[in-house]
Amino acid sequence: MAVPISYYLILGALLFVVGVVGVLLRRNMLVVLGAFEVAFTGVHLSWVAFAHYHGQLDGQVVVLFSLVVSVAQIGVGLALVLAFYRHVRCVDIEAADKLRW
Amino acid sequence: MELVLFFLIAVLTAAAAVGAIAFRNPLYCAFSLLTLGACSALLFVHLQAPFLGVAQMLVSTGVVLVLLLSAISVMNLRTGKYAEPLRRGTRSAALLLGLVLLAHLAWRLVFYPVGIGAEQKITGSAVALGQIVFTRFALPLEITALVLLAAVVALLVLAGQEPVQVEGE
Amino acid sequence: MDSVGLLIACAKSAVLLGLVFGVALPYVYLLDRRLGAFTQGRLGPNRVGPVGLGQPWADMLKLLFKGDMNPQGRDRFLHALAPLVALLPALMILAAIPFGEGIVVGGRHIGLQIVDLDVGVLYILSMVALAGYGALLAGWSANDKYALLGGLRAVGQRLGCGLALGLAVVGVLALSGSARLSEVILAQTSMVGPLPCWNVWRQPLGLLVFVVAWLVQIDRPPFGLGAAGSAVAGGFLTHYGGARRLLFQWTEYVYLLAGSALVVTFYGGGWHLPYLATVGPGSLWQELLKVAVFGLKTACVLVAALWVRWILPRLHSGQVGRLNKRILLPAALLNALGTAWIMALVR
Repeated sequence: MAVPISYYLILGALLFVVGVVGVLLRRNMLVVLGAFEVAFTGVHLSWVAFAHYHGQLDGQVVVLFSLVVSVAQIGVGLALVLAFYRHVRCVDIEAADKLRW
Repeated sequence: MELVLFFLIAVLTAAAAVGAIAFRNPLYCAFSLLTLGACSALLFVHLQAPFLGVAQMLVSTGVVLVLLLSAISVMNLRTGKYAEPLRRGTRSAALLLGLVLLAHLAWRLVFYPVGIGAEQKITGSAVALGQIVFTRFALPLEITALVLLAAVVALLVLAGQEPVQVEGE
Repeated sequence: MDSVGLLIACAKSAVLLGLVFGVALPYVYLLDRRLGAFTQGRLGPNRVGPVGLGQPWADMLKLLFKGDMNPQGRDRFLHALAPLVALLPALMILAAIPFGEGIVVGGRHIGLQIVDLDVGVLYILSMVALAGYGALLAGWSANDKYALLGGLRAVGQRLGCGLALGLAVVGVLALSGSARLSEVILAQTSMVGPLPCWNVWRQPLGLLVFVVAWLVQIDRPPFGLGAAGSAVAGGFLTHYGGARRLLFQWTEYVYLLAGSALVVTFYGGGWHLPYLATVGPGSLWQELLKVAVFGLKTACVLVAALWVRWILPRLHSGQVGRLNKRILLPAALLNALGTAWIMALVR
């Protein structure tokens, strides 16, 4: 018996909400980047579920591009965190409260 | 049978997602992300998207997570230094927002359910995806390549800066 | 996937794992030590059993009974998990490799690989991408700066050369027109004159890049930065003894086996031997011949890979980085572009 798409969508929605809450709640910058990744995963899951539902591959192509861009985003985010760490020696968001050093 | 398998993987995925944001130790968070990536790759394969499943493993778990773990290790971040809550009320606000979002999404999905869908299922194999990407999605492909190039340049510039000499160190 | 297919896959997995852990791993280990002894002008283990054939079992027993000394302040969960995380991707690579063409039993074609994935080549690359986790987790969890350094160096070299590895495989993908491993072999079975179309001749540069990049990926000397005894006091392996060290040892040899099998699949024509082991379903003896051909070719590559470790000095991390930046990556790119141009011209 096939799995109704609603279940996948609920899981994707859950992942997205967990990711958003993680971005808002955590103080460690690296964990915030990880929470972004969780939210992305939820969205990707929803795209692929819809592609499966409609029997087309367009959703999968979008996810392919989204994967690539999310990798680029996390890479640049990590580099930014590293640059910040060199100044302040910690990765606490609360420490990023000046506009320049 | 499929349903049981889906539920098992879905529960593991949800647990990994919550773990990724909830653990005190940032390395455990990254490890939960690894589990999340593997589970979502399995779900992709189940949704007739094997190429995406493999791409997810390769890209997400293979690259992103290694970078994240290396960053955590280099900064030698161990447990609990950032366990204090944010400004008063932020935590409850965030959790409230999460609950509201979740309730809204759940309501939508329960009362407007989406069923099984089309009978013809295409498998997102490399050949099939390639045919679409290089014909209909050629422009987004080129733009994504540019975005990647910009990201690489940004990484080289940001990571190549000299460490700042902090006084007293 | 129906239940019969699932059962067949389970049976194949059991056979493969049994062969790997029972036959292949112990004797690759013995071969490694005997080869090393040979290059160094000594005999190597020859006391336990005839010609030293019992040595691997004796060593395994010894390692299993050795005390497990664990550092204080270690991260218990990750320290225990790291060897498993290291071993699993290695075994999963073996799942996709075609050891023979396949037999037809009761109207069903059973391929001699656990699963013939549509995206087989990419699956293998993704499992190789997971190779760095074992070293990284092992290094960090030990609460020791030398272990951490070893782990980070291991990851660094892997990330760098993983790109070259992927690019080298692009040439093979272009020539085969498919990411399915069985079709990669089938594309090499046509004959041009007296020679079979193996990728060894069509992709020589790709082969070299693949072999070097693979040796870097599995942290094997001459690129063994992760566990380099002379540089970081044992690297990420420092705080592992007993059974866990055995698991890391197995990981290295399984990756070597998988790598040799992959070199044979991508570049060596797999189970194909002109006029003898040809395409098309044959009798059971023909299938066994194909498997034997595959095994023989893998053994040749494996011996070469083992030998390289004993005759070349270890590179240090700057040298590995420079090797990657100045030689491997440009060569891989040249290979990919050259293959594309030549294919476009020929068409």
